[in-house]
Amino acid sequence: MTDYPSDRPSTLRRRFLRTRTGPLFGGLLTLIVAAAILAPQLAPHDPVRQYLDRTLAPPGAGFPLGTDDLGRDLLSRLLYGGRVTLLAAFVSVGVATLVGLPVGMVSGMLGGQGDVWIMHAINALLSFPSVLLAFAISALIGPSLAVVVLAISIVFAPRMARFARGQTLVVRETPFMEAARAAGASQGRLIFRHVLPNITAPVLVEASLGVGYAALIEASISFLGAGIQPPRSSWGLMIKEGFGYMDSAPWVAIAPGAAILLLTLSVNLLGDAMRDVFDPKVRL
Amino acid sequence: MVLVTLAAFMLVTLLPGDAVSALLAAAEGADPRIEESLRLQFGLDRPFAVRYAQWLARLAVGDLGRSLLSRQPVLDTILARLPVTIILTAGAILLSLVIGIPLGLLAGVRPNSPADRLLSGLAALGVATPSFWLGILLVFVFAQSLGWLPSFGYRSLPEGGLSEMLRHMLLPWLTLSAARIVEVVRQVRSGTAEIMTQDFIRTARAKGLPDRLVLWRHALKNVLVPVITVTGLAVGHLLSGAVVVEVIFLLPGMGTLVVEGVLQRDFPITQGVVLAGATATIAASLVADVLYGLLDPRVRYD
Repeated sequence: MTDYPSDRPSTLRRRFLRTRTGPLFGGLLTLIVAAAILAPQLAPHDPVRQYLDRTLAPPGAGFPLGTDDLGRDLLSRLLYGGRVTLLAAFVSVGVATLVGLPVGMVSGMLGGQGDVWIMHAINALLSFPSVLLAFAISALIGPSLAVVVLAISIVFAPRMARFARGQTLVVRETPFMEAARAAGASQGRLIFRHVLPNITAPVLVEASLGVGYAALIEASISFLGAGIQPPRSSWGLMIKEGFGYMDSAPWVAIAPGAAILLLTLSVNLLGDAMRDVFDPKVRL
Repeated sequence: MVLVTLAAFMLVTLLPGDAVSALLAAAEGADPRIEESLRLQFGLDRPFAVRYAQWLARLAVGDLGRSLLSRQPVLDTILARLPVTIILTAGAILLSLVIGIPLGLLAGVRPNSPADRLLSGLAALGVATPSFWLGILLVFVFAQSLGWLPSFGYRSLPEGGLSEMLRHMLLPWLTLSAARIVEVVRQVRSGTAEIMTQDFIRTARAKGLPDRLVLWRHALKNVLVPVITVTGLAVGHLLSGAVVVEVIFLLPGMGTLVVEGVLQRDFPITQGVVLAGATATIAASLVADVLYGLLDPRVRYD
């Protein structure tokens, strides 16, 4: 007989610690987030102060990661830019989940014509290339952090809705749902008391993978010139600023790119590890 | 599809700052009467539903309107830019299959072998890399440091012949296909790993077929069908990536067109390209569906 682990928090914690990637990349993500939050304390320089006699200085004493074309300290800009990139990624995935999750659950529980029409609308939104859509929305409204968040949410919400619907359809056919329905539970009660707790784990995993995706979209639209505007900065914008100096000062573009890479890598692998932790069939 | 046209239309009409104010922004202190007459000329005084119906009717006969800046028909402009984007995207798809399938087989035949572990690590890195950053790094290494390839620009076949075109397209293709290669490797790997445990593979081995033949004759066929489907579904992603890649390498395709269009608030151009992108995405997934049915006789449509 197979011995399935329970889903008590203590068991989940033990399973999480047993994955090798989970603690490693969870720790890395914590470090990145902490560095962004503590940017004012950690940054050695003012991120917009221009040391005009030290433009495009290579990494070295005084400027650990070097300076950009305007003589601004790259490490400080990286720390402050991380706040914008992380904020945009986490908030937009949060907004998209708040909108997409209920729509997906309702659509899945409704079935019939309602479900068909909601899915038509979702598929229509999904057929627009994601970066193109986010870029067009952001540029046409006029770029700001709030607009970037809105644009990424519009791209990600239909994905979350479709995912939540798929999960809902699986839960809907289980015997305990039939029992609840037979006991006379209302649709609302079914959705919030029975469906929601049972799809929370996969939705969390999907959302964590979405954070990496959102960070990449934010970087892309900033690179195209429709994201955060100077002198504020995000990692995508920093790559754009460094793009022109690749031949003389490659570190300007390499540092922010590596930062995005680390962020996306850690949320993706953390998401994968969480999926294994929540799946009782996976032996750890 | 109807909803797609509605969404594309709403994209530019519901947003603040209409075309007229964008046009007049250049000419400072414009006469309000000129603004009014321009609005009338563009028909912007009519209600939303009426404008949508008129736009749809023109769309049906292939009229996407004219660019606000160049006054050229949008359709002609898009068609002129289309070949570059098609070459870029199709090349990237081909490259992802040519590189991804053999690597996926290699990893999937012996799960948890050193080769498999190495590829899985590379795959995790590949998914997390921003494509435009990868493109910049490739330019840095192959164009600026080594000087092997040109760092930007496009040569069509008549201009420079095949070798010049390939030299200019190689880095864009690599940049765009990197993420797809990873996807293909992952999919072929898991497909192969599963197939290799099946009875018919054991039978083939038992009757004395060499491993290589078992792999190419029996396993590959079964692994490839889902790869084709997913490739069709990935066209939307590739088009997104193509926008960024075209901007990095200054390729005169639809991506650079739409970026210029959006930044200059040229609404008909933006609308046209976004609509074309969505149409291509839908068409590709339709083609994938049909191919799936042809390749796998077990699939039946009602």
